[in-house]
Amino acid sequence: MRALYWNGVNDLRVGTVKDPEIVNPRDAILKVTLSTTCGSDLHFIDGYIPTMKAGDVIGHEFMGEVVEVGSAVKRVKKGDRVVVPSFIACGECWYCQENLFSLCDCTHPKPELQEPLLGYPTAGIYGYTHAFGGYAGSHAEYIRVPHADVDCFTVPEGVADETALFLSDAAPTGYMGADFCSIRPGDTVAVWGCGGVGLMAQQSARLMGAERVIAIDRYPERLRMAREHAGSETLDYTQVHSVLEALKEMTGGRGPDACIDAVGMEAHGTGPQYAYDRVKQALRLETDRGQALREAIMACRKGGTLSVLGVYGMIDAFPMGVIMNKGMTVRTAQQHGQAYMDRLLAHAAKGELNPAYLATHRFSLEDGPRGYDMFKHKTDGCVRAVFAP
Amino acid sequence: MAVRYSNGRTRDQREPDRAATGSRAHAGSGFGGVGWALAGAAGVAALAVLGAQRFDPAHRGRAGETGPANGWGDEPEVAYALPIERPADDLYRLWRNPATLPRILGFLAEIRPTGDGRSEWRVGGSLGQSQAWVMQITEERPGELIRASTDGGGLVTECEIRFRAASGGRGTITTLRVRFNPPGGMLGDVAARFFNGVVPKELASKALHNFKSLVLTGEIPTTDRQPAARRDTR
Repeated sequence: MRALYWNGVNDLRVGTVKDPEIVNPRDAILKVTLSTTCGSDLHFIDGYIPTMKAGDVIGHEFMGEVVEVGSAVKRVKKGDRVVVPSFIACGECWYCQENLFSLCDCTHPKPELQEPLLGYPTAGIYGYTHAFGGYAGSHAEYIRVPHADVDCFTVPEGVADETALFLSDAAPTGYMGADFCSIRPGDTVAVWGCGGVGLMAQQSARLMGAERVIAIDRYPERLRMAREHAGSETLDYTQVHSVLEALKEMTGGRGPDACIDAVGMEAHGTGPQYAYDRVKQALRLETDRGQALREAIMACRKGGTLSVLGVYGMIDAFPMGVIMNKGMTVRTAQQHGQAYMDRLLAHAAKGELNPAYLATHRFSLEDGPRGYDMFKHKTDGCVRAVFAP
Repeated sequence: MAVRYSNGRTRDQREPDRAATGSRAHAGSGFGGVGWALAGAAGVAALAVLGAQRFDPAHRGRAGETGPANGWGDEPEVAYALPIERPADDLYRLWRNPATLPRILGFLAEIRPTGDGRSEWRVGGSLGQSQAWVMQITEERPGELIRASTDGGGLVTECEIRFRAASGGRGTITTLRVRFNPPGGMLGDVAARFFNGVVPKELASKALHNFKSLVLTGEIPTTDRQPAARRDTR
């Protein structure tokens, strides 16, 4: 089959690889219908996250059709149109039972690579470094999905492929980020980042009853999407002297009740703090630029909630004192998609959540490297590049 | 200060100090040099940052709570504990099943059960060395403990699994202790290469995670036979 693979830092290629096969009894094989880029992919493409191997098939946000199932698969059937959360969960361990699916104890084939960094291994994920399992990714014609009965969710009729696609990662990540904020009526939620996850977090905050959502970014077309699709008020951080002051002004001096970081380790910003991070990251003295995170911590009201969805490595210069003295609550996780999928599919079926607009650019798999290039540089207003293998 | 392990033995806790120096060496040539050699050049540089934090002695000190040994020290013994959400009797039975060890330790050694609590172990190292030896169950208490050892040679000289109820009804704390006899007292990266890049502490963790997956799901997570644009696709 054809697949998009990582060949080295900033070197993606398309080539022919062997087809996946059923290896374990709970596996299924999917024919990938759609697969999309994620901002977190850029971290290993750019070389900020180690443990990629040349030849790794990448991609972790996808939907498709079941074409084969293993001997222990009971619920999922050949021909089912399904969406699959990006983290692989067994459904049996304590973490899965507690709805902490991305922390599953039973799906990491290489815990020895990750445990020294995190203290404990997490669940495995498709196409996202060997420290996160080394599973082949979804930018390919076919993909093996372990624990199919737990991880494949049937897409109801009336929910389009392009909508279902983003229920694999962007939507559950954003939804979980809003859920972390324990939103009460009247709350104001600020969201750093208007990429796929940020826009989904904004819409989800609305669905959960936020009265105001403030979106922060610098790209006019993304800010426009935040206004038009998520009903957010917008703040272009390049147009204000201080995001903190701007947010104080917008909230009458109180600050947002909750702040969601949907940016992560390759944040852009302005001013000396950004320059500090950029230089340290370029010299590989730190892996993360964390300006969005620091701004969110400062801007949040006293006793408010910080919800971190951006992906980080080992960030330094983290303002713990601000969090402590302001009595903030910090919630964060890689997405527990399996915990939210039924609700997300219901919202999608009712038209309350329609992430299809994120699919600004569509490519064949053969054009994958160009798709990632446009996605990385936001060329032509690219929010998400979608591949149809 | 003494640390009491689950099996009731004690030994001096020199771990934080020893781990600090020993592990820094690992960061350069042991775990770092082998496991992380998978990464691109830039990735390895990034690892240096991660590594510096990983091997902070203040963090390593706590390792003694679940695993007494950290990589190769002067005492090549590792232990690792993991809660498994099943009763001890079930875990005992599955561990005793002859089909289990070959599966959960397959990444380390080729194991062939020969009956009566005996099994033949064979390790083929990437350095062209190979070793074979016999392990024999020497002590077992149903639902509680199984210990196997060699009567002399062998890369692994003792292997012990213990089960005890976790607090709050949260399954069974399963502790694996393995004692090695590295040939010629080989250390650090040489040992790691011998074990296909898995250094002992991580090796015990991998074996127990495999066991947990097998118990709960009937299978072991794997990247075997998957697609990738290279020869060894795992």
